[in-house]
Order: sequence, then C-alpha cells, then structure tokens
Amino acid sequence: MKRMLSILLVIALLVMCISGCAQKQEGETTESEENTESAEVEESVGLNEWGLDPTIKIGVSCWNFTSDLGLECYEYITMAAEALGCEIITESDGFDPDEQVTVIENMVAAGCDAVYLCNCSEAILPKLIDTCEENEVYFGLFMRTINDPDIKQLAVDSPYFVGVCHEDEVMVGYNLGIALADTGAKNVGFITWNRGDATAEDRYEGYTRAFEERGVTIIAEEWEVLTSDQGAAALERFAAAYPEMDGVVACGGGGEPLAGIMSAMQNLGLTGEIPLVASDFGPDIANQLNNGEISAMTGGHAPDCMFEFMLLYNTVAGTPLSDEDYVELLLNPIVLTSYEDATEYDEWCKGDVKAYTPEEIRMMSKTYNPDLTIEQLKEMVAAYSVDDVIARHS
Amino acid sequence: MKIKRDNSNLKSRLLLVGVMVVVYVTFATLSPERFANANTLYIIFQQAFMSSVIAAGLYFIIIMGLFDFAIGSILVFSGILGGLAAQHTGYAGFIIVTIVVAIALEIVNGLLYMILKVPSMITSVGLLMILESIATFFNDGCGVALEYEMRLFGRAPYNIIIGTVGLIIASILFGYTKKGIQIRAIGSNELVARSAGIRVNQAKLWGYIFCGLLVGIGSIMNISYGGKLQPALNLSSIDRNYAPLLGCFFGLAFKDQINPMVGILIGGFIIKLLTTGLMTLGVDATIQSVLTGFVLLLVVALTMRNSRDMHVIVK
Repeated sequence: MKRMLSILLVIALLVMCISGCAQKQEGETTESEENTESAEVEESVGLNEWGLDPTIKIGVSCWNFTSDLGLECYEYITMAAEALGCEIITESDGFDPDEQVTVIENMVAAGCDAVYLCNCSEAILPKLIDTCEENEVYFGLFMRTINDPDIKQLAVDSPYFVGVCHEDEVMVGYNLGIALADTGAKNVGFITWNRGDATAEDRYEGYTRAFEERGVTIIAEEWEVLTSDQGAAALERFAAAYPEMDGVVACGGGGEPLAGIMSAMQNLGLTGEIPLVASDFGPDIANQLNNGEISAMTGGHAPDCMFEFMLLYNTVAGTPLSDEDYVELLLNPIVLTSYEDATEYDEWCKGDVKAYTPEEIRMMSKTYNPDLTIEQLKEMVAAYSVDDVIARHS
Repeated sequence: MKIKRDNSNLKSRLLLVGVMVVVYVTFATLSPERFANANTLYIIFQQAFMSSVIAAGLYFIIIMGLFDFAIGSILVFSGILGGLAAQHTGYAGFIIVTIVVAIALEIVNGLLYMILKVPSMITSVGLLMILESIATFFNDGCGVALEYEMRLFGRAPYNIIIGTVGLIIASILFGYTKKGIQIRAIGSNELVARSAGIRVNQAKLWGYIFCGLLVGIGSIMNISYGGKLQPALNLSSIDRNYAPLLGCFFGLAFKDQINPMVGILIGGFIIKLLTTGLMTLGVDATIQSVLTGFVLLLVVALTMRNSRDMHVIVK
C-alpha cells in the first residue's frame, strides 16, 4: 500500500513537472510553427525566413516571471525570440545567490549558447564567469552593471563576458529624490531591499545626493523589505515613531513591498497627505498617480532585458557588434509624475504592440541588418522614452 | 517539592514579563521621543498579533515533535485563492476559501507525513515546493491584490479582533478539547500516549487541521494587511516561517508556566519591540536580526533551566 502510494505520488509529481515544462515549451513551439514554412524553404542553408539561425539558444534567469516587471521582461524576451526565430530558456531564480548559480549552471548544461541574468549580488559573478568560460558560453547581465573593480576586471578579461544593459540607477534615485523634494518633503522615510545589491545601493546614493542638495533628511530607513507585509510594517513603524515624516521612498524590490506600503498608508489615512515616490511600475500606475497614492515613479525599463538579449544574440550569431571587452548599454527609465504621463505610457508602451515591433527587433540583429553598429544600438537604448515610442509608432 | 515547582513557575513568568519590560524600558530610555509613545506601542501590538496567530498554528505541530516548513507556502497559496474568491464573492468567499484551503493543505501535509512515514520536515519541504509552483498557475502567476474595502482585517481594530479570536480558538482547542489534550500527550511522550490508547495518527492529523485553521486566519490577516500576495518561488516562502517560529519558541519555553498562546503573543510582542526599537535607533537590518536572535537564545536558554519539558524543541 505504502509503496503504491509512493509510486502514485512520484508519478503525480512527474506529470506536474512535465505539464509545467510543456506549458513553457508551448510558446516556443508556437514560435517554431510560425517559422516552419519558411524554415522548410530555406532548410538547405539552415536559416529561417529572415535569414537568421534558428538554432541559437539563449538562457534568461530572472528573479521571477510573475511580478509586474518580471512578467513584462518575459513578454519582451519571448517577443524577441519569436521575432528572430530562435530558442530561449527562461528560469526563475528567486533573486537568491545560490539559486542564481544553480540556474545558470543548469542553462549551460542544457546547451545554451549564451546566458544572462539580473544578479542579486556581485559576489556570485566570478563563479558564473568561470562556469561560462569553461563551457564556452557567452554571458551577460541585465538591469545590472558591475561596480566592484576586481570583479569587473574578471569580466573584462573573460572572452565570454559580452556586456551589460542597465539603468543609471544613481540618476533614478536622484531624479526621484528631486521629485520628492519638489513636493516640499523635508523628513523622509526610506524603505528598500537587499544590502549589497548594486541597484539598491546606487539608488540610495542617488537619493542621498538629491536630498543633500535640497536639504532633505532621511529620518528612518529600513532594508531587506521584500514582501507586502514587510513593507506595510516598515511604514507603520515609521509613521508611529516619526510623526514629522513628510515623505516616503519605496526604493524598489518589485511591486509587493510598494503594495504593502500603500496599503499601510491607506490604513493610516496618509494617502495623499504624505508624498510617496517609488520605482518599478505596477499595472495601475495611472490611477495611483491620479489618486495621489504615488507622487512620482520611475520604471518601464523591461526592454532592458531585450536589449541585453540582442547584445548576446549578435555575439552568438557570429556577428558581434563590438570588440570592446565590456559593452555597456545604458537605458533611461521612464519617469511618470502625472495621470496624463501614465495614460500615454500605457497606450504606447504597454498595449498589444509594445515599445518595439518585431521588425524593429530584427533590425537590431547584424545578420538581418548588416549596417548595424554598436553605436547605433547604444543610441536606440539611450533614446528609449515614451516620446521615442510615439515617434516610431505613430 | 510543590512549593519549589511553584517558585520555578513564578520565576519563569517574571522572566518573561521582565524581558518585555527591560526591552521596552531600554528603548524608551535610549529613544524616548520615537519609541516611548502610545502610537508606537499600539502599532507594535497590532503587528504582534499577525505572526502570533500563525505561530499558534505552528505550535500544534511543534508540540508533537514534528515540524512544518510548508506553513509559509500554505499561507501564500490559501491567501491567493481566498483573494481571488473575494473578487467574486466578497468577505464570505474570502474567509471560507482561505480557511478551507489552508486546512485542506495541512491535511495533505499530515497525510503525506503519515503515509510516507518520512520525517515531517522532508514531507513539508516537498509540499512547499509543489505549492509554490502551483500557486503560479492562478491569475497568470500575478498573485492577487485586494481592494481597500476588502482589507478590513488588516487594520485596527479588526486585525486585533480577528487575532484575538484566533488565539482564543487556539487556546480552547489546545487546552480544553479532547484532541488538544491528546496532542499534548503525544508531545510529552508518544509511546506512553499510544500505550494509553490514544490514536496517535488521528490526533496528529487533528493537530495539522488546527494548524491549518490558524494559518488560514493568519493568511486572511496577512493579505489584508499587505494588500497583495504574489507566488513565492525557490523556497522563498520559508522566509515567512521565521517570525511565527520565533513566537513558537517563546510559547514552548514558557508552556508550563503560562498558557502557550499567551506566551506566543508576548514573545511576538517582544520581537516586535526589539525590531521597532532598533529601527528607531537607526540600527541596520542585519544587526537587528543578530540582536533579535541573541535575545531569543538568551531567553530560551534561561528558561530551559527551569523547564522539564524543553526536550520537545529538540525532539
């Protein structure tokens, strides 16, 4: 009886795993089916209808693909893979260092030609660079750069480290800090996530720089806030202990902490009374700005994940865009401060047609667009804004 | 002998209250304006309830010498389903679905442990991994957010009311029901309990059911408080176990001297006093964890010398 039950449970678990994998592969299959006809035509040379190599396989490791930003990243990279007719493997790493190493190793073992991730700590990079070098797999980072000079040197010296796409996080913090100061805030509570995370530290630096310039004081700060209840608890503690608090920063960490902070502010009757600035747009940003729940927000940087994808894709395709040892693409997140800004962003960047069309994505491939240069790609990345999208798509 | 035992009880009770007073007075002295005000105390009191209700549920498992790593994932899973139900059925669906799902999952947890006959730690980790993954199948993996109108149990006085109700239910189930007494007997000595005619597996299953009930109530409080729950992946739901576990240790440490549910609540209160106090002093989050762990070790170590039954913790 016990043995039977054990076998049944194992079978049930296997079926679930397989069905889970099958769900993921469905998207990939669809993309392959789309290309089947043309692939048949060009079978002799092994290229798809756009003259691109369909066997290229790129692995993307992300904190998860269920948060607002993670889901948007997933949409962008699947769109890029479909536009190019190549394969992708996606895996969630929970923003955990051990898990990130494991996921990358699994992807390398699964035969990926290139892998990239949004690393939670720079400390794991030497190990990942080694793994990729040993297995001759190209490697990169999205939404992250490398600050530690020694680790950066390792990346520069590695023939398999291609580059990074990231935001100027110091400027993200600085701009939001100025936006908060503009509301008249003088005593600010600061809620953020992991110590040691380059993005969190850079944003903190940007905020403190802006606050120093404008005479704003951070009266209380709380780190390691990753869930909604932790966000709510932090805000409640600030509000109780610092009644003079007249501004709040939700530095990031996905939508959950921000949801908790806003929930606590509503409970305490502080919504609209105390300005709140935050990073990483949620699905309801327009209403949140309209209701005064949020005063200013940066985000919309999911295309970052796609640009890094293109950087690696070109290298794997044998047409690297640059012979630099460390390519750096810099993307400016979108800043929203009003309902009108937000509705415009929703209309142009989050509709059925995203900020980049499949044809625009293919134009970022040197095989498809032989005239492409790294400078052009850098310009495209730097130009990203709502106005840029309107100009291209209207 | 009797007098000696009573003295020991009194000492332990005084220790628990003493620790609470010392922690409060220390921070009130160091940070009088920030910490020593009614508002801060009220917030700490409310926050202590949420983890205490979940800790009370976990207590039913730990007292039997078992362990449950899955409570965090059950909290998230039941909260997501309850939150989705709330969007269509209001409070009735929210409460019923959350609690029923939590109980059902704890029953599965208990059955896995009993049928497979492997340590509860292992079965609960397996269940945790399965639940974390399945939770992503709902609502496109985006979790669920509750409207302000549906978040009544996340704010005062409703969070205090539901928390108090949860702890009273836990107290009654633990101290005044046949199953509760059987669970305690299993915790004291499983072999003796079996010899005394207690159906051990059945009693353990009831322990899991009681745990599910309280985790369900805790889940309602949690999502109402934070406003949003997203699926946790890669074992990250384990993070949600720590705060209840700390409260549980206080309950265990003082179980012979006071009602364990009161011990859990006071323990939760002490931990929140510590974290808030350290925050008002500007102490880094990492150092906060170090100091909280140190105080926990100190309190439990001091109490263990007075308790005969602390073997439950390490059983």
